[in-house]
Amino acid sequence: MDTLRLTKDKLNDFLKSISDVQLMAPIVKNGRTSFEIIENPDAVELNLDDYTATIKKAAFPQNETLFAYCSGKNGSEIKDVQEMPKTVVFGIRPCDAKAFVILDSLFKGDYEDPYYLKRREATVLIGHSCSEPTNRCFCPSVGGSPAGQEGLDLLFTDISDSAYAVEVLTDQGKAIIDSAGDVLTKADEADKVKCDEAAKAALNKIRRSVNLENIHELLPSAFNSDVWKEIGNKCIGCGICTYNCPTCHCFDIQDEGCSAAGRRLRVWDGCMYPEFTVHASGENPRKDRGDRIRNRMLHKFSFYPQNLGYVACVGCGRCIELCPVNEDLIEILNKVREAVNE
Amino acid sequence: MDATKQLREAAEEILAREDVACLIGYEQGSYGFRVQPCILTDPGQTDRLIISPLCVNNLTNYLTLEQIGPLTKEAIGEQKIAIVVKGCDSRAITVLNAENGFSRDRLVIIGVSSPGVVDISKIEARFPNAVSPAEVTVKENNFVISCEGETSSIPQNELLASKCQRCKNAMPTVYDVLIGEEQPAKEDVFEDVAAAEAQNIEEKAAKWQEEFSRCIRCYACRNACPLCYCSDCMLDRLRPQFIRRSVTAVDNSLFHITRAFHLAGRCIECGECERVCPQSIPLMDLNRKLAKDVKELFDYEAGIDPEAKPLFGTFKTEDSDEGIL
Repeated sequence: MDTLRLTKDKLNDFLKSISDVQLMAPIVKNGRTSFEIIENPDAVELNLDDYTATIKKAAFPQNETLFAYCSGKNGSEIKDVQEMPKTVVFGIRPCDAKAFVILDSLFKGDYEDPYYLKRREATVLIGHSCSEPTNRCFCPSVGGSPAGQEGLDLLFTDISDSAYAVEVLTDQGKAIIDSAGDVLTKADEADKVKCDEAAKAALNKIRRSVNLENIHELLPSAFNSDVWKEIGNKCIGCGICTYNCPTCHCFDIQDEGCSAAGRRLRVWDGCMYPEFTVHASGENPRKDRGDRIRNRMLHKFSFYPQNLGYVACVGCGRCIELCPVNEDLIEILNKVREAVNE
Repeated sequence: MDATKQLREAAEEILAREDVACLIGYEQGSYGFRVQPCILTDPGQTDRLIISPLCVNNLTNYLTLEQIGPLTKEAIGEQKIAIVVKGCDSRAITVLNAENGFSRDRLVIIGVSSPGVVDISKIEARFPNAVSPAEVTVKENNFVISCEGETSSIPQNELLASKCQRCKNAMPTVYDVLIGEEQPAKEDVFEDVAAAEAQNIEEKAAKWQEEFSRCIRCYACRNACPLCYCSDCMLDRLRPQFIRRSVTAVDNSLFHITRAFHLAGRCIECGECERVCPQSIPLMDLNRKLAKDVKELFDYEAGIDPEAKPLFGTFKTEDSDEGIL
């Protein structure tokens, strides 16, 4: 499809042309960055060094009400409370966009999850290529790139201090471009060259990597290795890695309320909590923290690729950056490989 | 002799003891400025140990996790655990000992007279490309930083963690071996709490509503806290479910306020809750206000006096009864 050019002083005009939908974009609020639904495009901050904000909430919110009930004249009344307005996510990183593709394969898999899929269908993803990858990024190791296109409808790339190249990747993306009218111009060959060069330059800045060769078989073969115990000793069992992971998707179903009114909802859950696998009897098959980390690694790098065809990691490095005790996914996989080779 | 060398020598001697099962310390992390906790069992492993202003974790947290070090509680038996602690960390041991959470007699404590630790997010913002192992030392009032082949010097107060900027107890209150020079404790006058206290109730409500609404309930604050160690935490209870699992401003507020009050007179101000929070919620603002109230009402500071009983395990007739209905 097409490549267009947008001068940076017209970014606001472009964002304002996206009407009748809610716009979600990165902003800085009280010195902190996050993706929020915004009213005013002036608030959008595209070149944030710190991009810890997770964006999976656009299709997989932390709380999702499945239905609500209240007592009425004729007994209980069920209320369908799903509001899934069309949402344009602007400024998403290519790794985070790829995470949606990975999640789609699961939520469209053996069982179609209507809640996720409805939100996902109502979501348009406008990406922004990374020009300054962070010191924990390793997306090329898991098949990604700072200018990756998977999952995106449009991709913005900085080609100079004053302009973006805008690559149109889907029909949904094209519809947005069409409605923006003449805010964008056709990119010339020089722009396209600069766009490719920017992508290559960013790729060269990524310094961390992990060897995933045969990892889906290697991990199960290390199931009983003592290495997990060593890795687990350091873990403190919080949910930072799972809750900030763009591909982690476990949830719990909860009922809240009383006989007069209430709701059933799903909330995020995480496999690093002891409670995640505790049985009604009190038995916990994954009682050590090492057992839980092993499960998380197996899920991402063995079960998921075997069942759904994707490694469930996009190399964003959030779990590495945010872990209170420097549990480092790259180091974990390297240690396991070493243990197997010994 | 530099502190790391001193630490390694002490550690080697301690780990060679028959009554010591393991040593919890710090080693080089996986990249850049990251340092990680490590658990050693063999005197031959002590060259992995380091101590520097990058050693941010409070390692006493490991004492009360459900599986200690490389061994379960059952396997360690009567053997002792050696542990490296900074000033604030050592206060956790005193509190744990006083409330029968973990006996000080089961520990060999390597105390480090701390020059203060670096705020990792601040230093990473200055050196965003740090991937190779970086080093930080203290020279006069500067941090000397070796990163990616270059050495630079930055005034300490620009990078120091906020808890260290206000710290009055850099010297461990309890230890068997001391690394570094003795430092006198100073009087805490809580100047950092004044601004928060000056707010009116509406301003406070609005501020904390906003802060708590960002919480994603990953429970890293609870799990990183050495004094949050109930084996049956009310957060995990289902019957009754004290705090709902849905992540709302109301439930989040209930969680954080409950936790803060549970730590009143117990929090030793290591700041781990605030450091680990992925949503940058200033949790120490709550803990500092409570510490000030406890000091003013009961003339008590958690974990300073190794002989002191827990604040809420004692009663004096002259105690303030303000707030009792």
